[in-house]
Amino acid sequence: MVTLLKGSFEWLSISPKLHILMFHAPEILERSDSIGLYGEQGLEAWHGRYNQGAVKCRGATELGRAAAFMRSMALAREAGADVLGRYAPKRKRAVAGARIAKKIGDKRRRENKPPMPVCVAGAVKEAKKRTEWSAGVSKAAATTVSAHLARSSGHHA
Amino acid sequence: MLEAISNAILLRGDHPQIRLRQKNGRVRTYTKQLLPRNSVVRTSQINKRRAAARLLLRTGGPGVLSALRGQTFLARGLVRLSVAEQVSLIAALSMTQIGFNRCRRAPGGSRSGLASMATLRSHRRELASLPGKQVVVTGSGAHLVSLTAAIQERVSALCEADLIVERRASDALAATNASPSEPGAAPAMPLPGSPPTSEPDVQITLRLDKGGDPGTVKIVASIINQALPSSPSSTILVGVCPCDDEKQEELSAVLETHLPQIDALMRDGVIVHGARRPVRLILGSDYAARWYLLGHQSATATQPCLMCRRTRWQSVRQAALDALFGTLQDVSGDQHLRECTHFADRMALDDASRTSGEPGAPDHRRSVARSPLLGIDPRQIAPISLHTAQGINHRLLRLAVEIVVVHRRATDGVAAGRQAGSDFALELAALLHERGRVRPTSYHGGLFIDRDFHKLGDRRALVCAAPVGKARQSHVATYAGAWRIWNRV
Repeated sequence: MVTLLKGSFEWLSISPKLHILMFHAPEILERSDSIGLYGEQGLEAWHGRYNQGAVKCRGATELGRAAAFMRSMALAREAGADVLGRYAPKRKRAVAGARIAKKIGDKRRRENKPPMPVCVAGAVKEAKKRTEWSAGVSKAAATTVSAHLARSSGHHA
Repeated sequence: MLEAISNAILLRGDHPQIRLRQKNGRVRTYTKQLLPRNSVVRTSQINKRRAAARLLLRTGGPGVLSALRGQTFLARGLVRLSVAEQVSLIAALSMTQIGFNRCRRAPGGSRSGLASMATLRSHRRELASLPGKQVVVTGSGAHLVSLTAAIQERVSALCEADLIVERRASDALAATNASPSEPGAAPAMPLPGSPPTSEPDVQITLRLDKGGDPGTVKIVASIINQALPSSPSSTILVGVCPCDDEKQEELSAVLETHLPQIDALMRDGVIVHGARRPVRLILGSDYAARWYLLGHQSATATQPCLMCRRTRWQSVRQAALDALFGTLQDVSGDQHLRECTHFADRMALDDASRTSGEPGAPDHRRSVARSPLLGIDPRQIAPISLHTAQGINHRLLRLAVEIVVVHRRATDGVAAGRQAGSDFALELAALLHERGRVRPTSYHGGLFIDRDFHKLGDRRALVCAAPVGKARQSHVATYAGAWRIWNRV
């Protein structure tokens, strides 16, 4: 993919992340048979869990609440989802494609669902976010292209 | 006769028996009996049956026994949680013991099989006193007292439940050490985080990341030798440190408690099924934390990759380095996997020691500006797959804007190109929002995360069609091809 992109879009620079994915991820994949096992989703999930859980913990300061949260979570390891999952009855997997809406009148289809009420404040906020995102992306794109052209014209000069 | 029976059933009344006289003068007595039709019924049917049973109990008619026999149980083979699991469940759900006691009283108090408050309290004290569960508060944050004990505890629990999954890494490092490919290469030496390949190891990842609101650095350890190592319930929260930034000084204080523990873990290993096994340590933090942990400058350094020695851009100032190692921008494929591995080997031998790479020293290289906090084999740095994938998604979206800018800039000039890029970006955002139903976050530089991240791949047709007519045809075709390949990855 990178070779294809680099061949057509000469201004595209290979970032360190892309380089790792291209050169080093295959090596790890070869050695460990998986990259997903080492993914950071588990760590990212702790941020959300901490945000929700720490406010319920007692503590005068942030550090106190963090310590109380840590103590709770250390105890909670005995009954994690993996432990309790062993007791729960195992459900059979659905047949492939069984849950896909096939009929036109199926109520699971988005077009057959009743329309959600539109929140004006939410719509304004979304529009603002879109504007900010597009402004950031277009600015970065213009800068990248300009820098490349300036560099290439400098080389030619 | 049938009419009489149906009348007896359908008409209101409280007659447990129906007496019918036949034509020949004999009297037959029919007794009402309630029999369940289905063993599994829905809630409404359960309620009806219970109401019928209550009625019969009140009247004390002969159908009582039959009704009791037909009573429906919601679950078969009720699970009895151990007291430790009950304590743990209370902690996991952030429930108070008083709240739990109310839940216990509802299904019959002591008959429910749930522990009393006194039992829960004593078991909680007992559990909290285990070394793997004790927490210490230092100036940097809250930390587990013993990382090694916590990991051993988890490994033992997995062994007990027979949930240990053997994962053998085909380690090339040991082979390289045993037979160096280059004459004059360094002799075999044990590297931090790399156990000998002759025996099965236990893989443990250590991750650091700053996040949440308020921002805290969290340290998480995970045992890879289990079914779902990335699941939050399978990971161990090692430390939570409220701090403003994850700079090296702060990370140094954060890791101060755990570094001796990590050393002990590497030295002593863990016990699996009664046998001691070595530990393979894998670093799985985000990019910023890795740089600070390994004393690296940053992504903008001359040699930004932690796993090889390539330079970022070709430059006259580092022409020798460029010639020797190549640049990140070189995608010709000349430097294949083995060559990268060779770089990694050299780096492992040179820089894995925590004391090497002092700033200003002759061996200062690879853009390592400070002494690394953690000595680790660079090949045991896991790729940050999630962040990388999110970053590449974002980069591909930006590329769509870039090809529009390039096209308009070439035809109508710089200002027109800039304006076209701005308009197209707005159009793309609206398209993704309205038709793709994905929206960027307002933080992390506008990345698409969670469900939006996964949905973006499915909506690639929208993204690929957006620049058609606004950019060069060849660019659009290549762009669509790149999305196709990326989706396969």
